Amino acid sequence: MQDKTSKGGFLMVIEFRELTKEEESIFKESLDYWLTDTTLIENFKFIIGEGNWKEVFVATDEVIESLSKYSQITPYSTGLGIGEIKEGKFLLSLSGGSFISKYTNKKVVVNKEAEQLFLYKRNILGKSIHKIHESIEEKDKFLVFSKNNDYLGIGQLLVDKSLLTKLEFSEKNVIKNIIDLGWYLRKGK
Amino acid sequence: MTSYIGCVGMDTRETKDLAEKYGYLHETIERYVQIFGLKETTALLKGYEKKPKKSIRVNELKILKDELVERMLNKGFIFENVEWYNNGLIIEKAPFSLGSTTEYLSGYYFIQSIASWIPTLVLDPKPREIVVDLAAAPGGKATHIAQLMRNTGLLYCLDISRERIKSLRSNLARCGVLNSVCIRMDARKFSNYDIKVDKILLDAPCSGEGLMAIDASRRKSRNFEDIKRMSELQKELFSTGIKSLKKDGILIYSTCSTSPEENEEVIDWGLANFPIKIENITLNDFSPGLTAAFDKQYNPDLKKAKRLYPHRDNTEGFFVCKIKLLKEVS
Ligand SMILES: C[S@@+](CC[C@H](N)C(=O)[O-])C[C@H]1O[C@@H](n2cnc3c(N)ncnc32)[C@H](O)[C@@H]1O
Repeated sequence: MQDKTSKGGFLMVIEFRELTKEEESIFKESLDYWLTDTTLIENFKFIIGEGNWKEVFVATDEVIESLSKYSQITPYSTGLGIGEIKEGKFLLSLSGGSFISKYTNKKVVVNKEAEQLFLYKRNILGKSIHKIHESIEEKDKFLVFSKNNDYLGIGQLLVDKSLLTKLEFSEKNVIKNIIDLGWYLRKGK
Repeated sequence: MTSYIGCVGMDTRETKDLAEKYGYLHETIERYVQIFGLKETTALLKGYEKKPKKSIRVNELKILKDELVERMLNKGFIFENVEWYNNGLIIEKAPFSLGSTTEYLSGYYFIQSIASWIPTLVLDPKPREIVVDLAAAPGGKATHIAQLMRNTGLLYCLDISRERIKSLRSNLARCGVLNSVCIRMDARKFSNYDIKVDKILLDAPCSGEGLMAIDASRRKSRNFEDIKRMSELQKELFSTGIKSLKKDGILIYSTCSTSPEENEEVIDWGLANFPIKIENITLNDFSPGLTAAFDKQYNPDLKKAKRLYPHRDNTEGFFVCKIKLLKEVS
């Protein structure tokens, strides 16, 4: 979800533009799920970068102004890519998770051992969950945090929440690693 | 052929011995001796035998220094402060790799040499300005610029390399930068857009002569031809930078090279061709730029530029110069 700009070794041109009405409603609907405080949306400006993918970027006013003023420039990226719009859905990216991390309660806190493993792409065992927000249900996505309150990545609950406290799930994968900050080392170098 | 070889008064045996002892090309040592003299060259070569200590810059867009220091101390890291930059920390002890901590991945710091803080600090970018980083990848200085701009305004980040621009994007994202426009292009063409900006960083592609400690393979792989080629590219990039500045705009020129052709000569050429002047750098007591090298005299104002050396400053070899544009040029 992070680097969508090169395909088969060729760099494609990304066109930056405003969100259409439809894209805006998809985006807002998704943020309704994620955000406890939607002032975040009002305080920032978002644009679409469309190449082979439709990526949503958050950027400053000056960045957005410059894109329309100097339309002959074809940027590689602008501001911060926070996710992509695909098949009528907005999919939050790794940096998108970081961007919203202070404004969401879709959070699971994991213990120290799981923190390290999660950063190496691993899933999370039942016994490693320290806290899970009550609003989270099976198949939901959420942000994974360390006990230090550091955002670590995005996870998805694989089982019914009521089973999490059961002994037989303590050694089973209950949270799927969708993406984690280790990406910056594995792919982002 | 190079014009300096066989210079009067040079003891070839001594330079050959040094080249052999420290594993450099003989022509490189001869050049050093002509620039710095034998004693200083020997000190420089000894300096390059020791890798500089690692250092980090706290990314205030994500965390404050005190909190980061406390967390890293708890993990067993030991730091030393830097007198002239509050958000910089020198690593005295690292129990494990600095590049794999949760704090690093969270973008709380950037692993960066202390010399490479200087161009950005001297550039002194302010919130809401328009700034260009003409050679930005992998983004050490670009993320620092964004930090000083408090993530506002507009920061154009240019780089020609397909591979390196990916790292640039990744680093900007890791550090939470919102104000960048990254463009993969030959920065020599940037002035064609006719965009006039407040400040420009030209952390120029260079021979990397100053990195002999960090990458010893450079000692034999870089020769005078590389330096000459780089010098031409640097002048073209400098010219683009000047043409893209507003009146009174500031351009910082820096390299991790100690060769005069890549530094003073570029600025001297700029002074002869554009309405610019060199401004003082007051950051710290670093060595002045050269006003003469080999058979050339440079503009006397070049002493206002700064040079850093491993044996004097415990850094890589580095050059930085602050330029002000007096009248817009096209
Ligand atoms: C010294 S490095 C820049 C380091 C960067 N400022 C940082 O602090 O992380 C020089 C960069 O210039 C880029 N470069 C070389 N020639 C260029 C050109 N003509 N236009 C734009 N970038 C160029 C290289 O790809 C390289 O990434």
